Amino acid sequence: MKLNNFLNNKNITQDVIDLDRRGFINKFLEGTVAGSLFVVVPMGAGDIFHELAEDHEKNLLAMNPDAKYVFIVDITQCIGCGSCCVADKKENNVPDGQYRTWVERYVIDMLENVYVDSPNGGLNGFNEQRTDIENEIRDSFFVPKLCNHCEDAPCIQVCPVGATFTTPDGFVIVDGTHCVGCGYCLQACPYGVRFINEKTHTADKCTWCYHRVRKGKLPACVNACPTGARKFGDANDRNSEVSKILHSPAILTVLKKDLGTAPALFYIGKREEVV
Amino acid sequence: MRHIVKSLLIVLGIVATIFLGRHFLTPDSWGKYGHYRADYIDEEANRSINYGENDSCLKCHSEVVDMLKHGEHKTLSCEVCHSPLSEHIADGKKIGSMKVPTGNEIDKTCLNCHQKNVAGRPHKFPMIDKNEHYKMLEIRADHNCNQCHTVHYPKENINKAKSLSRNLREAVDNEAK
Amino acid sequence: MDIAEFLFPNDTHPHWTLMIVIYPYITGLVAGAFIVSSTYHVFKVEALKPVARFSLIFAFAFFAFATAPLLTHLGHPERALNMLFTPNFSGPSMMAGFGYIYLTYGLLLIFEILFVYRIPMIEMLENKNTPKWRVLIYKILTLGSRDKSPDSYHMDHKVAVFLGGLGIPLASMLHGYVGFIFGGVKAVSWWFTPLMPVIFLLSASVSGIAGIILLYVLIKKWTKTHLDMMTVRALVKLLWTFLIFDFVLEMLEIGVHAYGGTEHWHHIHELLSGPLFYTFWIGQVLILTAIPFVVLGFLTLLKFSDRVVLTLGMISSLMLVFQVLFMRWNVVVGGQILAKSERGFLEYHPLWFEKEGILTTIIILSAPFIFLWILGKIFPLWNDDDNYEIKHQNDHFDNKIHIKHEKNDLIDTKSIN
Repeated sequence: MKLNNFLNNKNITQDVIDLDRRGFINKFLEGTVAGSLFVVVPMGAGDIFHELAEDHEKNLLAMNPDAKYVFIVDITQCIGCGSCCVADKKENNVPDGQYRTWVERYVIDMLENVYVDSPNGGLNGFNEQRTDIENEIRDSFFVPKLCNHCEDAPCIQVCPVGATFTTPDGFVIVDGTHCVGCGYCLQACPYGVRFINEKTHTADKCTWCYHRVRKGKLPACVNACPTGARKFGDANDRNSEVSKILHSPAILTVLKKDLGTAPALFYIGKREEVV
Repeated sequence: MRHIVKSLLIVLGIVATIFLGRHFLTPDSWGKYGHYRADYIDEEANRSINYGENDSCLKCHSEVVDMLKHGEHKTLSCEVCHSPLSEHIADGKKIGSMKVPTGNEIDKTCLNCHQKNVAGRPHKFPMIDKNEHYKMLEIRADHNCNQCHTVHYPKENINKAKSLSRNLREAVDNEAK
Repeated sequence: MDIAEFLFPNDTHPHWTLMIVIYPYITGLVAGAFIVSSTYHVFKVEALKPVARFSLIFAFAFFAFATAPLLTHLGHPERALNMLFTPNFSGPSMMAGFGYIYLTYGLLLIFEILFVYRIPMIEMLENKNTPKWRVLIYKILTLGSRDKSPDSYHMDHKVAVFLGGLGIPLASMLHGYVGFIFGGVKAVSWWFTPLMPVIFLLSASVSGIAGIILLYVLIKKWTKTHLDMMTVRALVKLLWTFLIFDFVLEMLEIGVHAYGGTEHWHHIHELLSGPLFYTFWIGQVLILTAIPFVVLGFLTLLKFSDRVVLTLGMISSLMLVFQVLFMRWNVVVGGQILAKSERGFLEYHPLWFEKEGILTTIIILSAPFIFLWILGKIFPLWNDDDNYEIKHQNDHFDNKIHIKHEKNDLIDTKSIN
């Protein structure tokens, strides 16, 4: 808008601009292109690459049993871009049609009808407006979903062979080398986060990127989120963002609380309609 | 009644086989922390990662990361638009070029977050209807977003243009005086 | 209120399908048949004697294939033994008990059969007309024993009664725990009820008894041998008794749920009036339970001719065998098509030629019948095939002196053979 005003302002530099508006813009664009070139030109020597490689392969941090890891999803910040889903899929090589995390779109109209959708788990973002909603929309928001890493996880309770368990530092993970693929954990999980991986034929689910956390990195989805809607950290660490949120007056809720699973995934701004 | 004794022996044999089987076939680290194979924890933790963080990019591409840090896109992860690090670097060597969106891909990438009229997005988030925006600014429809908005620093040129126009205005005003 | 359906993206098709429908069905038939056998062996209901041995063999034939659907279903069947080696008893996982309960029950069933059949097997072993392959099998199965003394007979009998008695709680556990597998899943409101193990157990008995009636009458008619109407009538009464408890508990479960009217009930109500309407209300309840319930009630309470009892008893049994299959379907599949998103239903239509499809189901369900036929070649299915048993059937409470007399008779029997 302001650019428009500026361009249409006849009082100033009108000669320059009116003569060649495109050229004017192009001059700025050259700057852009020049800037972009720095991205393309490789800078580093081999040493830096080696440093990078070492970063990713080694430096496993010790387990921290004193930590209380929590995941906080701020629904009011989520813009439904699907970056988290893409990052998750590529980070964990999740097969097509199966989801370790996904984003749901909730639309509630004035008559309290609730419309929920999650096309391809939100992998492609939400660029289309739903066309089947006739009434005026009262409320709409995105809800990212992932494993709740419950303290009393029903999936661990039912696993017949002890293939899924809580690590001493509080992550619920699946030992794919021991899993028999019976699928009982899929039935027991109230949140539908588990699936039988079509490549390995064993149970699979979000690990909160345990392999990244143990290397001092954030979960891939948290790293990818552009708006800070996904937050992860140690609640016992007073300096962490999650700890600050937990100590703030923000209203934190969990999914399906009545089932007594004690999730470690909290939501800010979760409406009643969210299941 | 020897068959009863034999039957009992067979049952005992089966029970013993199971106990022996449990003894030998239970994985080594089983039960170290709980009812599971403790070694799996580190196996899982050692899984290679695909996404670095922006700090990884900084090592080679400091200019652009610096640029990113000063603009509205400072919270973005490089790898969201440019694909994960593991497709770029492996074992310390460059194995492939990063995805760099061009042309209409750029618009698609921008609008993935900034498309207006998608119910669900927080109202305060900057959103745009491309057609409306171009029409208002009298820009030809075949232009791409990055022709005005530097992707790594969206308002850079806009701000520059603003300050330039301010300077021009001042210059013109001074001339008039 | 919810106009639009929404399913969680991982929860779009039931993961437990036909294989897990027929698995509790098969263990149910095992448990039910065993109860018939033990009703004679332990509770001495003489009317059931003609089918006592058959029920055992029937139970074993199905027992042998109880794991077939499970192994077909598992993502990694080669790791199945993990259930034995690292069972999760700390959860505890109900499924972890399977290996041990199944194994214990299997051993019990095998030894019960071996003790019941030991002396008949020795006699067949000593009979020169017995084909060689059977002689070899008998040599192994009798554990090298040739002892036909009344002492050993009575000892065998005691062991069989003991095992039969022990088998009742074990068979109940085997099947009750299958009910627990479903009843303990709080994430699925259609499953989550303490009555689930009880209902499974009762419907198991119904299917087992109905199966025994069907096969008893069919085989006897087919081979044109003596059919004991007393037995059929007793089985019909037993069937009706179990059906009463089964049906009443099933309806009470739903009744209490509906009366409570929680949000969970609303989902169940939508399920029962929607995708499960035909298989549950029409199929399972109205046609396959209500009709046999009334018919069996009349057959039990009023006097009818043998012909009527036989015909109606057969039809009712056939219906009940399918009723229980429907019940397993409605529970196993029904629970899963209730979406975890609480906004709609999953779809499931079994295919003929998928891994866990209809063809596999038919093969697994027919296998026990073929196995039963083979077992019938080795173990005479009917008590009246065995002279020794008839000769000694009233011996149970005789004293030692009397037995000594009989020892002489035994030699006579042998010489006659």
